[in-house]
Amino acid sequence: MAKVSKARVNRPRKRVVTDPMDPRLRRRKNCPFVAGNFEDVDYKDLNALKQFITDRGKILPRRITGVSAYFQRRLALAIKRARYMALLPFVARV
Amino acid sequence: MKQQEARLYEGMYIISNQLNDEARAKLIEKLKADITKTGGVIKKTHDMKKKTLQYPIGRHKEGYYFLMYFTLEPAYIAELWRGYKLNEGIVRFMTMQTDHVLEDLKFKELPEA
Repeated sequence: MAKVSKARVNRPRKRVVTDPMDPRLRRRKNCPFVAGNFEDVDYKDLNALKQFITDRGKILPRRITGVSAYFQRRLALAIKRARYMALLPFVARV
Repeated sequence: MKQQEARLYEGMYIISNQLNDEARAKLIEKLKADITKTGGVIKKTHDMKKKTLQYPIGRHKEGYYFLMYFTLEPAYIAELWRGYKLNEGIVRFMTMQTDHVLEDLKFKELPEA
Protein backbone atom coordinates (compact mmCIF):
# COMPACT_ATOMS: atom_id res chain seq x y z
CA MET A 1 0.00 0.00 0.00
CA ALA A 2 2.64 2.48 1.06
CA LYS A 3 4.72 1.46 -1.91
CA VAL A 4 1.97 2.30 -4.35
CA SER A 5 1.30 5.75 -2.97
CA LYS A 6 5.01 6.54 -2.96
CA ALA A 7 5.26 5.61 -6.62
CA ARG A 8 2.39 7.95 -7.31
CA VAL A 9 3.96 10.85 -5.47
CA ASN A 10 6.72 10.79 -8.05
CA ARG A 11 4.20 11.54 -10.77
CA PRO A 12 2.44 14.63 -9.51
CA ARG A 13 -0.12 14.88 -12.33
CA LYS A 14 -1.82 11.60 -11.70
CA ARG A 15 -1.46 11.28 -7.95
CA VAL A 16 -4.47 10.04 -6.01
CA VAL A 17 -4.40 10.07 -2.24
CA THR A 18 -5.99 6.96 -0.85
CA ASP A 19 -4.24 6.62 2.50
CA PRO A 20 -6.79 7.62 5.19
CA MET A 21 -3.99 8.82 7.48
CA ASP A 22 -2.68 11.21 4.87
CA PRO A 23 -3.07 14.73 6.32
CA ARG A 24 -4.48 15.98 3.03
CA LEU A 25 -7.44 13.67 3.50
CA ARG A 26 -7.66 13.80 7.26
CA ARG A 27 -7.97 17.57 7.32
CA ARG A 28 -11.15 17.41 5.26
CA LYS A 29 -13.91 17.98 7.72
CA ASN A 30 -16.86 20.10 7.02
CA CYS A 31 -18.29 22.62 9.33
CA PRO A 32 -21.88 21.70 10.20
CA PHE A 33 -22.82 25.38 10.46
CA VAL A 34 -21.49 26.13 6.99
CA ALA A 35 -23.15 23.01 5.60
CA GLY A 36 -26.47 23.94 7.21
CA ASN A 37 -26.27 27.51 5.88
CA PHE A 38 -26.44 29.04 9.34
CA GLU A 39 -26.27 32.79 9.77
CA ASP A 40 -25.35 32.76 13.41
CA VAL A 41 -25.28 30.48 16.43
CA ASP A 42 -28.06 31.22 18.88
CA TYR A 43 -27.40 30.82 22.60
CA LYS A 44 -30.95 29.50 23.01
CA ASP A 45 -30.38 26.64 20.57
CA LEU A 46 -29.36 24.16 23.25
CA ASN A 47 -29.66 21.05 21.12
CA ALA A 48 -27.01 22.41 18.79
CA LEU A 49 -24.77 23.81 21.52
CA LYS A 50 -24.76 20.55 23.46
CA GLN A 51 -23.09 18.79 20.56
CA PHE A 52 -20.03 20.98 20.97
CA ILE A 53 -19.33 20.59 24.66
CA THR A 54 -17.81 17.71 26.59
CA ASP A 55 -19.46 15.78 29.42
CA ARG A 56 -17.76 18.17 31.78
CA GLY A 57 -19.25 21.14 29.95
CA LYS A 58 -16.08 22.30 28.28
CA ILE A 59 -16.11 23.72 24.76
CA LEU A 60 -14.75 21.19 22.27
CA PRO A 61 -11.86 22.34 20.10
CA ARG A 62 -12.67 22.72 16.43
CA ARG A 63 -9.79 20.37 15.71
CA ILE A 64 -12.20 17.67 16.84
CA THR A 65 -15.54 19.02 15.67
CA GLY A 66 -14.46 20.47 12.35
CA VAL A 67 -16.29 23.75 12.91
CA SER A 68 -14.92 26.63 10.82
CA ALA A 69 -12.99 29.38 12.58
CA TYR A 70 -15.78 31.88 11.94
CA PHE A 71 -18.45 29.72 13.51
CA GLN A 72 -16.20 28.51 16.33
CA ARG A 73 -15.93 32.11 17.52
CA ARG A 74 -19.68 32.54 17.38
CA LEU A 75 -20.28 29.14 18.92
CA ALA A 76 -17.98 29.93 21.85
CA LEU A 77 -19.81 33.19 22.45
CA ALA A 78 -23.18 31.44 22.31
CA ILE A 79 -22.04 28.76 24.76
CA LYS A 80 -20.79 31.43 27.16
CA ARG A 81 -24.08 33.28 26.95
CA ALA A 82 -25.99 30.07 27.59
CA ARG A 83 -23.76 29.40 30.60
CA TYR A 84 -24.45 32.81 32.05
CA MET A 85 -28.18 32.18 31.78
CA ALA A 86 -27.72 28.81 33.52
CA LEU A 87 -28.86 26.97 30.37
CA LEU A 88 -25.51 25.19 30.22
CA PRO A 89 -23.17 24.36 33.10
CA PHE A 90 -19.82 26.06 33.64
CA VAL A 91 -18.54 22.81 35.13
CA ALA A 92 -20.53 19.61 35.09
CA ARG A 93 -19.87 16.85 37.55
CA VAL A 94 -19.03 13.57 35.92
CA MET B 1 -28.80 65.96 23.54
CA LYS B 2 -29.77 64.27 20.35
CA GLN B 3 -32.48 61.70 20.70
CA GLN B 4 -31.18 58.35 19.58
CA GLU B 5 -33.15 56.00 17.44
CA ALA B 6 -34.83 53.06 19.13
CA ARG B 7 -33.07 49.74 18.66
CA LEU B 8 -34.27 46.18 18.79
CA TYR B 9 -33.31 44.26 21.89
CA GLU B 10 -33.77 40.77 23.16
CA GLY B 11 -34.09 40.22 26.89
CA MET B 12 -34.03 36.93 28.72
CA TYR B 13 -35.04 36.75 32.35
CA ILE B 14 -34.90 34.04 34.95
CA ILE B 15 -37.77 34.66 37.32
CA SER B 16 -37.62 33.27 40.83
CA ASN B 17 -39.61 30.08 41.33
CA GLN B 18 -40.53 31.29 44.79
CA LEU B 19 -43.09 33.61 43.24
CA ASN B 20 -46.48 32.05 42.72
CA ASP B 21 -48.21 32.18 39.35
CA GLU B 22 -50.01 35.40 40.21
CA ALA B 23 -46.91 37.22 41.41
CA ARG B 24 -45.03 36.04 38.36
CA ALA B 25 -47.70 37.31 35.99
CA LYS B 26 -47.55 40.63 37.81
CA LEU B 27 -43.78 40.77 37.47
CA ILE B 28 -43.99 40.07 33.75
CA GLU B 29 -46.55 42.86 33.40
CA LYS B 30 -44.13 45.15 35.21
CA LEU B 31 -41.27 44.14 32.92
CA LYS B 32 -43.40 45.08 29.94
CA ALA B 33 -44.66 48.30 31.52
CA ASP B 34 -41.11 49.45 32.27
CA ILE B 35 -40.37 49.32 28.58
CA THR B 36 -43.58 50.78 27.22
CA LYS B 37 -43.60 53.74 29.61
CA THR B 38 -40.35 55.09 28.11
CA GLY B 39 -41.64 54.74 24.59
CA GLY B 40 -40.51 51.20 23.89
CA VAL B 41 -42.54 48.66 21.98
CA ILE B 42 -42.88 44.97 22.89
CA LYS B 43 -42.48 42.95 19.72
CA LYS B 44 -42.78 39.41 20.96
CA THR B 45 -42.73 37.47 24.20
CA HIS B 46 -41.94 33.83 24.82
CA ASP B 47 -42.77 32.05 28.02
CA MET B 48 -40.08 29.40 28.22
CA LYS B 49 -41.58 27.67 31.25
CA LYS B 50 -39.85 26.35 34.31
CA LYS B 51 -36.38 24.91 33.82
CA THR B 52 -33.83 23.45 36.17
CA LEU B 53 -30.83 25.73 36.40
CA GLN B 54 -27.63 24.02 35.31
CA TYR B 55 -25.95 25.39 38.43
CA PRO B 56 -27.50 26.95 41.52
CA ILE B 57 -27.73 30.75 41.56
CA GLY B 58 -27.86 31.77 45.19
CA ARG B 59 -30.60 29.67 46.72
CA HIS B 60 -32.33 29.05 43.40
CA LYS B 61 -32.19 25.64 41.79
CA GLU B 62 -34.84 26.24 39.17
CA GLY B 63 -36.44 29.23 37.57
CA TYR B 64 -39.01 30.41 35.06
CA TYR B 65 -37.47 31.59 31.84
CA PHE B 66 -39.04 34.50 30.05
CA LEU B 67 -37.92 35.93 26.74
CA MET B 68 -38.96 39.24 25.27
CA TYR B 69 -38.15 41.20 22.14
CA PHE B 70 -38.60 44.93 22.31
CA THR B 71 -37.44 48.20 20.84
CA LEU B 72 -36.15 50.97 23.04
CA GLU B 73 -33.96 54.00 22.86
CA PRO B 74 -30.46 52.98 24.00
CA ALA B 75 -30.34 55.70 26.66
CA TYR B 76 -33.02 53.92 28.70
CA ILE B 77 -31.22 50.59 28.90
CA ALA B 78 -29.04 51.52 31.88
CA GLU B 79 -32.12 52.65 33.75
CA LEU B 80 -33.84 49.39 32.89
CA TRP B 81 -30.93 47.35 34.24
CA ARG B 82 -30.89 49.28 37.49
CA GLY B 83 -34.52 48.34 38.01
CA TYR B 84 -33.80 44.69 37.20
CA LYS B 85 -30.96 44.50 39.70
CA LEU B 86 -33.17 45.86 42.46
CA ASN B 87 -35.97 43.48 41.63
CA GLU B 88 -35.77 40.41 43.83
CA GLY B 89 -38.05 38.40 41.58
CA ILE B 90 -35.46 38.44 38.80
CA VAL B 91 -32.75 35.89 39.44
CA ARG B 92 -30.77 36.73 36.34
CA PHE B 93 -31.29 38.72 33.18
CA MET B 94 -29.55 39.42 29.93
CA THR B 95 -30.53 42.03 27.37
CA MET B 96 -28.72 42.32 24.14
CA GLN B 97 -29.11 44.03 20.83
CA THR B 98 -30.35 41.82 18.06
CA ASP B 99 -31.35 42.18 14.45
CA HIS B 100 -34.34 39.93 14.14
CA VAL B 101 -37.26 38.65 16.17
CA LEU B 102 -37.65 34.90 16.56
CA GLU B 103 -41.31 34.17 16.00
CA ASP B 104 -41.06 30.77 17.62
CA LEU B 105 -38.25 29.13 19.48
CA LYS B 106 -37.39 26.60 16.83
CA PHE B 107 -33.98 26.24 15.34
CA LYS B 108 -32.52 24.77 12.21
CA GLU B 109 -31.32 21.22 12.50
CA LEU B 110 -27.60 20.72 12.30
CA PRO B 111 -26.67 18.44 9.42
CA GLU B 112 -25.00 15.20 10.46
CA ALA B 113 -21.30 15.85 10.63
